[in-house]
Amino acid sequence: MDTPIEAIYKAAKEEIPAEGDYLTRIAGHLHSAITTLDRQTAHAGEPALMTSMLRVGGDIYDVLHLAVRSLDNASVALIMTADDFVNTDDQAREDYENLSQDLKDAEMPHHSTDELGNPEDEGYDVENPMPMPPGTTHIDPSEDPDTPDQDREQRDAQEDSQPELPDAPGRDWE
Amino acid sequence: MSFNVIDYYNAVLDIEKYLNYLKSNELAHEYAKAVIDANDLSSKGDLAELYTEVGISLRDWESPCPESRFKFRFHGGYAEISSVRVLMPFDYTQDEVDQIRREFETGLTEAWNNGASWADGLYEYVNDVSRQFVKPDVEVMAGAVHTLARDVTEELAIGAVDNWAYIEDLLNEWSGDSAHEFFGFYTRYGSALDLFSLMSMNVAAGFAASTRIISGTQQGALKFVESIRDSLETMLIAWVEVGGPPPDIEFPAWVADVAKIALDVWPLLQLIPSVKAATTTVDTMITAGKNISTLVTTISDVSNVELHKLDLNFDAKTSDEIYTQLTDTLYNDYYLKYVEAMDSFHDGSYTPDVDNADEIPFRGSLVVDRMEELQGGRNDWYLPEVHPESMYEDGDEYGW
Repeated sequence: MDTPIEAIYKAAKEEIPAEGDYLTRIAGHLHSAITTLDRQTAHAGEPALMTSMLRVGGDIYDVLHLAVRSLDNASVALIMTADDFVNTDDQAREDYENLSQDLKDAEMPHHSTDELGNPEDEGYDVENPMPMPPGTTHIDPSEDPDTPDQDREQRDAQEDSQPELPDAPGRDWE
Repeated sequence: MSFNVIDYYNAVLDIEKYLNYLKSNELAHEYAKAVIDANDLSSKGDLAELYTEVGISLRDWESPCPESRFKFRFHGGYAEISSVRVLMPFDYTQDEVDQIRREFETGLTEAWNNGASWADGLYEYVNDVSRQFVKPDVEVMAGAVHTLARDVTEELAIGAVDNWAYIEDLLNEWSGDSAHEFFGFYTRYGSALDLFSLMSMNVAAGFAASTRIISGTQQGALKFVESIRDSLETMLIAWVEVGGPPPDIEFPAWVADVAKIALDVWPLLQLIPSVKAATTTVDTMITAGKNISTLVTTISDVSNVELHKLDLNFDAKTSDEIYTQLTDTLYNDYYLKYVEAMDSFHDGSYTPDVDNADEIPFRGSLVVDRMEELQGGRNDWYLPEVHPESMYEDGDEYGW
């Protein structure tokens, strides 16, 4: 059986950091999937199905992101706790002195996960514009398209909406 | 089958161009008829014996279409028009006839050219109607969905390793504030990962369904615009052959049934555990065969979407009618059906018309509702934050 000090050090420097690796990896994958799908959701006109899935994915991510930090903090908190015992308890001090040098020297975990981008930020669409002929205007994809009736009205409102025929020459010899 | 947005826009640009050609042909034909009518009304007046009727041929005129295969002539093959009856003085000269013919030909060319930009703007309108389903990159989406299933859901389901060096026994002896925080985190951690596995599986399923609907809609829309382009080509070539407007011509249009494409997704969702399922059931499912990423990959697989072709013939024959049917179909059968399909997977009230519909628990809105419900009870969703502070308090005993 490990001594309590040894158990604390193993938890703080080996086992919790390993859990941090695991969660950081998952959070990274979730981050990349959400970031990709966020942009595609913007392209797709932000249907409620996709925006709600993004919201849930984003809220899961927020918890994982904080949990990674909490795991690292837990390692620090455990070593601080061990230090407090070593400073106040003879047995703890003795156990610390018997601790392997490797465990004493092992680095503290430093995991980092990125914040998620804000889907409301501008630029999602601008980054990857559609092929458009020159002179056409950019349209926000989340706006609903005009109906064919609206399109017809706009066309009819234009000048020369229907091309004209030249005068047909008729010959009258009177 | 894959979809390339460039193919789509190229087909639409061709349609715009061909509709301009068709409009121009129609105008030239209309002009020719107007010339014939105008000359039919000519009268010899009181000095009838001084005039004679001369047929002036229109056969030599050729439409100034930039594509030679679509240049048509009033060759009189099958059509009613080939010449104009004109009254000429008895002593007319060939020069005078040629002069009049050139006048007619100039008018025909002018009429044809007047249609040359009539359909411009179709491209922009089609782009407006279809951008929401043609712009997303379904292969990129399918890749992200696969990541969600394999690298998030299944990884989370492997579960926490959280018996960290018997830390639980030690924690019981510590009474600092941060010990309570850590204890809260520690006791919730494993079940939180199980919950997030279940929730992320539903998120993956929702995106998988979206991917399939978008893919089916865009593949179907491509087939549609390509069919219209082909029918227009056939139509323009028929003008050349007939020497005027083809009297009886089919105008086939390929239309996908987007509602049915969406219906096909439902049975696949049957295997996704409900967000209300016990997380232990989810564990069993995943360990039983890693079938979540397989299942989600199947749903988002864009290579096997059945497009449910509707056979349709435009009854339209003129450029105006074709323009209208084209935009109406794109709006009603693609855009609106796409929006409805997406909504049907989101709105909890919709019951799909598929077998065992009541066994399909997935709805986007239910996933959100469940999340909000769990977020309301603070410790059901969130994990307490652990701070880097000692858990020791004066008087805590060292030992197990």
